[in-house]
Amino acid sequence: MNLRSAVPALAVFLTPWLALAAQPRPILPSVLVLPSGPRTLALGDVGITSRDDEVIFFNPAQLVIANGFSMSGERYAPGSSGAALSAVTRFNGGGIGIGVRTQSSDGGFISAPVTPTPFEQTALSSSLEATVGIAQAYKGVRFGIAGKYAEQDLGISRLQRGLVDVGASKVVFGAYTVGVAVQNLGQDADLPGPLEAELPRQATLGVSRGGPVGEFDLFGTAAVSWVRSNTLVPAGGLEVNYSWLSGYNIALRAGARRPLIGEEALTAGAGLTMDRLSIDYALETFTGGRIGNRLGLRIR
Amino acid sequence: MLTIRARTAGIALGLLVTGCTQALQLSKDDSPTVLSHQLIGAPNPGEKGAFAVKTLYYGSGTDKRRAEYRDSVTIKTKTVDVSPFVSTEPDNAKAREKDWGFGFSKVPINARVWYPEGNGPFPLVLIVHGNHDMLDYSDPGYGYLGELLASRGFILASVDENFINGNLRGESDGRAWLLLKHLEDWKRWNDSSAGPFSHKVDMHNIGIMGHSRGGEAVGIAAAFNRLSHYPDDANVKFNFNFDIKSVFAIAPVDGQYKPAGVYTPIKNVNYMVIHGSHDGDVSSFNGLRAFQRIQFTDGKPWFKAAWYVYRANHGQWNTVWGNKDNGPRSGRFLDLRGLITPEEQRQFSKVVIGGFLEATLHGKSEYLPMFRDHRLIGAWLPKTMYITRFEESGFKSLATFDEDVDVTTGSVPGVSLSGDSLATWKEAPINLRSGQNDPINTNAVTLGWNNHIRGDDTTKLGKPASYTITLSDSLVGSLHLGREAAVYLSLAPTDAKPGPRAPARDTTKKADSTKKDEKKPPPKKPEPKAGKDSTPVDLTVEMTDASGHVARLLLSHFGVPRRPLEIHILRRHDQEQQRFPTQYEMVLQTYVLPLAEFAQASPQFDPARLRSVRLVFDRLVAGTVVVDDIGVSATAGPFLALGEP
Repeated sequence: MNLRSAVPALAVFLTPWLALAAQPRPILPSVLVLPSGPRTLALGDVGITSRDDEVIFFNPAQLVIANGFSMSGERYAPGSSGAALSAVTRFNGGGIGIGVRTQSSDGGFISAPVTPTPFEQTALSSSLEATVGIAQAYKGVRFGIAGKYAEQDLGISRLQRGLVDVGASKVVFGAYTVGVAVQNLGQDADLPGPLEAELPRQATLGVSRGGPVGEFDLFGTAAVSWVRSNTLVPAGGLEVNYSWLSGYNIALRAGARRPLIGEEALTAGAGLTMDRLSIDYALETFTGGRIGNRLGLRIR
Repeated sequence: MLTIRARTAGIALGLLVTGCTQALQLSKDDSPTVLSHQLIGAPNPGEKGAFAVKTLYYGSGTDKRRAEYRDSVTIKTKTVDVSPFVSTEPDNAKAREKDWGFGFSKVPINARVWYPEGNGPFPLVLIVHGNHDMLDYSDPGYGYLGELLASRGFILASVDENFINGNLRGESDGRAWLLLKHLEDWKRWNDSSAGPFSHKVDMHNIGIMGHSRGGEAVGIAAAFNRLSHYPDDANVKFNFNFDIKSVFAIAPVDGQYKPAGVYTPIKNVNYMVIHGSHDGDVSSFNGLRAFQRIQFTDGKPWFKAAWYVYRANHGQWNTVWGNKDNGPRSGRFLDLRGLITPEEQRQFSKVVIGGFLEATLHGKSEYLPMFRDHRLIGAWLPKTMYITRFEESGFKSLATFDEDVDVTTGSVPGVSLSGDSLATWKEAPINLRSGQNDPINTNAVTLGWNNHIRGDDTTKLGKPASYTITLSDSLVGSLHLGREAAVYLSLAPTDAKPGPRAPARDTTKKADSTKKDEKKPPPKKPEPKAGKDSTPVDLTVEMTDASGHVARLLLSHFGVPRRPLEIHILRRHDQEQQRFPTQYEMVLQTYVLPLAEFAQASPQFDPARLRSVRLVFDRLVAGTVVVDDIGVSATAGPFLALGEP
């Protein structure tokens, strides 16, 4: 595709999205904006170029090279928790993956700090996402698409939607992985009552690079997301790995994100890998000095 | 509370880490005994000689990366086009050209040279490195050999082929061709009327040495040297025909290049290969395959030798490579604790390379016996264990087990093979340690025995099992055997131990009556699982002449029959087991058995009328050996000097 034809195509693609982005409303289902794995969370919740299976929640194009199975859970505060599970395997020269995320709160607490909507403060709520993705590489570019079912239960109300993510990624200059993804394409929420909610539609551009530095392996990633509030949200993280024995590795991670309401910028974490098994931990900081702890297990 | 938690976590982590690593495991070192003799009285070929050493560089004079080949060359060389032999994807080729400043069509002829001060002519030896990080230049790493060999009257050129290192495959033929192009320049310099090498090079005595992929390349170069066309593209013509007398391979790969789809045939050169048991790069003794296939067909006096060095690695033969067989982070993968020191490893290579070149290029026959039996040079060798193979051009095969599937016939008409009371008698291929997909391309016979008679009496022994090679009169007549002759065999004990043998049948009983009267034997008691058998292996070699005169000597008189040497290259035991089917390399020891020594042991025995060679398994109650390459030689004399330690 040349530039002349690309620009109108991009405009057609983005116009409805931009139009919908004008008015800030509660973001639902809330699980769609919550962390999905301890490694990505520790890296500022940037996962668009990740090679781990949880990349299904960030960029389906990376399913071409991702592999493994992982699950993780996070306790935001008493009465409020979330969990994620994902698995990716090779398929027809590319990759396929599945992912499930849930979040629930008992109503006694601001359940999802990233989306402090009135619902979450007043009622029992739970949120679920189930995703299936597929990806293929073509001429060195990875393309992926994921279809998801997302729902939000708010007391007696239930919001259900079918959504789509699309993404692409490529290795450039031999060492950098660049990815782009547009997520949560679908019809906005239409809830009964006076409140209206919107889907967390976003476009993200990210890059990562890893490599040895002396005895250590460093990995850095950064991304910028264009969210519906018409703002750019930058984030990034750095990981330092050390291996003392083939197959064994420890990692320390730190990240920063542009905090949404209820969040603080800093995230951090650590991981221990023993051959195909990894145990990862991450923390995210919230306002009021609260900390969310996320623990995950990954099998490659 | 936190302290207790932290301590618990620390202990758990410690257990986790130590649980994944293994204690250092090495075979018991017998070198204090085996290497306790020094029978060769000639000067140690690993020590410097009398010549003053000079050095120079030759090269393109334009090298972008290598200052020595840009600013310091004494002789300028023209570039050559290696592209018919070396290729890669266009992107990679472009990136490499950017790195080096030249592509495959204009590669330089660069080398650093150590040479003796004097008029010469001196034998010329080229050495070429193998694959390594292309920017961590490998050619300076053989300086210790340059200093040694030049002082002993050789010219050594360490050839720069770093520009075809790195991410290339199947380029060993290019490495070989480049060596031959270097020789073309050397011929020109020797023939010229001026210059540092004018008439100083003995172009009739050329040696080529290579390490790793370079070790395969020297074999290919020996083959290309006598070809008129490149086997993969006959449009590329060759016209080399140099007097390459000696080929030395250090821990070579084999078969990365296969001309016309076959392993490179190597003929009519002196050949030696060395390999370390703890090689973390070429982790199987690939050079054994090359050793096996070398042929001597022109009637000239050649020999070949293969030495397996316990606890040596891949890189310590090059001072640049060191102990990083698996790259800069080798310590994470490889168990480096078991290695002999770099100095010991290089002392070994100085001795064997020095001895090999002295014997083959300087014609110093006093060094020949060391290749028949390494125990003759115990004082020169670093104290570790060695397994050695040897064959000279007078060797005539009797039984190599490669020809057919009949276990009773030998390799030539007139040889018959028989076994008596053997628990195991089978012929099968020998594989390298890396598995069945990596055969050495030779078959061997496996002989197992247990002289115990099954039953309650555990002390009851039957007659010793044996294996006999019988020769016909006409064959013996054609072999021209005499007191100068020797019998060769290559053998390795294994850890396999067959169960006790069945009692002999009572043939006086009628077949049908036995069924009624015979009591059922008591149920077999499970044998306790024994630890590793460390009993020394030995056997009697029994020679019989046509008159029935018998001469017997122990095999251990002619070499060390040693159980497999344990190898643990990787730090992680589980990875080692996953990667390698066995924890040892099946390297057979060659035993050269001079018939004169048998005649001395039994004066009535007439070597000229040898009728049979019998291996009698009478020294160990039970065991298994693998045997190959049984043969005789009437011309082993120069190698037999000095006898046995």
